[in-house]
Amino acid sequence: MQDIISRLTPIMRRVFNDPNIVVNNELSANDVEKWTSMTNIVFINEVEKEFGFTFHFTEIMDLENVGDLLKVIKNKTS
Amino acid sequence: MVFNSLQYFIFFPSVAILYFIIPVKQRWKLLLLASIIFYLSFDPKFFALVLFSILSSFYCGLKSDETTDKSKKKLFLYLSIWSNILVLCIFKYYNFFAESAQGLLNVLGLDVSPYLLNIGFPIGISFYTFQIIGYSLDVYYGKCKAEKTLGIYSLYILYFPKLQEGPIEKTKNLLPQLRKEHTFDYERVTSGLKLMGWGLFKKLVIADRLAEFVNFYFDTQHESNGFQALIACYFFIFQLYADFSGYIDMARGASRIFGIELLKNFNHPLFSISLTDFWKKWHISLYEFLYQYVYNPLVFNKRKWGNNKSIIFTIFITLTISGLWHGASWTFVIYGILHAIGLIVEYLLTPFREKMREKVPLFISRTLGMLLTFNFVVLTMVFFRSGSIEKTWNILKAISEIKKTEIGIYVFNNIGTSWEFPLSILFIMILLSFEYLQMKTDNYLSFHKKIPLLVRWLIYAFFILVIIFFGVLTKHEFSYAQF
Repeated sequence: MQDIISRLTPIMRRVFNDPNIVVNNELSANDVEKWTSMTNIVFINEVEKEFGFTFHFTEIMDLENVGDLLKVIKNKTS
Repeated sequence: MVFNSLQYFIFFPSVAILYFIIPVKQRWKLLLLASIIFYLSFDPKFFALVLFSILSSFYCGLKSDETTDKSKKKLFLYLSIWSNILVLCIFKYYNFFAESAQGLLNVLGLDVSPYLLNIGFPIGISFYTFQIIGYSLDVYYGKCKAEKTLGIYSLYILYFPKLQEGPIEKTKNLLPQLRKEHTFDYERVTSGLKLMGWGLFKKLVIADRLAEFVNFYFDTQHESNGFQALIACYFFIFQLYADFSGYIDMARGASRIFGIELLKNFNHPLFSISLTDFWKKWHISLYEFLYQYVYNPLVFNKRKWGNNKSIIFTIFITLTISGLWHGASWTFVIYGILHAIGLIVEYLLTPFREKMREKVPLFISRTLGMLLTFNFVVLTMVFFRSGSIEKTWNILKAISEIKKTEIGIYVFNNIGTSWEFPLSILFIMILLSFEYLQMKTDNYLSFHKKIPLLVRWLIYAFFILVIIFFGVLTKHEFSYAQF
């Protein structure tokens, strides 16, 4: 999981324009000012590019926090 | 039986006392019975309609869960969603579509007069239809199991605290709570009572007081004094917020007493620093529904167009639906479209806004953002409240032509001779102070407990006295009940 977090951190900092973001399981859109409905799709696209897979819509439709996203990424990369 | 009626003040305590007397296992049945009585108290003739919605979505959910055949699952999903959308369209939008078509045909020279329905409006239909759509999609996508007990599912749709004006509940939040057994908890019950009290204060003392000014202007005076128009427009945002959030507080407080926590619907939206921020804080349950079931699938589907095109297209569609959800009128559609344009402009200007924010102190950029957002919302709310494009135009025209003499006349008539206007301003200040305090205090409840008991009770007594002496006790409907 640590490997995924270290690859996710620069993406989140870049997309949400916040160099202080510390990625952890509980982090959610409520904690990051620029994580909005608009930037979320940009973020999803960047994650797909970084990890080399495509999400299915049902996998991301009800993600509540980064912990949920990490689980999906782990499933798709393992 | 609206929340601010005498009937409800007898109904609710009776249900709450009975709830804690009867065996724990039977409590959901009492809530279902109470919810049916609550529904019937509005307009019994529509009960068959809500029953149809419940049975169709319940049956389709069960059938969808039973089969592994994807095409059958899709069939049950479509059946559930479209049968309920059809009901919503007939009862809420038929006249709007018919009149719009008539207007268009008249422009083309064809004189038609369509048959219009005059049968009233089923209570809470926009709210529970969206809840049913959310449930059907959750079952279809395997996000939750279909509810097997018809009684529990009926309660999920009819649950009286949220029936009339929401929040639009999420399956995973409300359904599991209805299945749980809830015992008496002193802290929880008193916390629920306080929330109900605060909601009642907002409704009777702030919203209904401001409604006197707002209704007077919008319903009778909309072509006169420009300064009066300006005051009415600013008062309306506070009235609507106090009214709707007051209802939600009363709903959440009542439900908390039963041990069922409803979704939060507002997060201090009057202090939003951008329009994007506003939509994360205003009518959250509608925003989250649209985000999850409209915006997200659409933007995901269209992302091959590129980030900007897909986002702009999806914002436009989502916010237009949001406008139309509020009411069957072009003014609501324009309200939605204006917010869509605002959000798109905000999105496209992000790099510029970032640069500006780096150049000016944070406090200034936030205050500017807050003022811009607030005024934009006030402006768009004129469409929301006015009821017709012509009236909106007259109001905006009157505001743009304010004369100094008009200000003088208004001040003389409303401030120099009556307490009503200064009192309204005072209550708006109280609302804003409490909102600010709640926003700045991470854990409001623990802060509240630090206040000495005697002082706390004095504050409660003060608020009760204010409700008695300054509340508008003539029964005003809640604004969002019409949706």
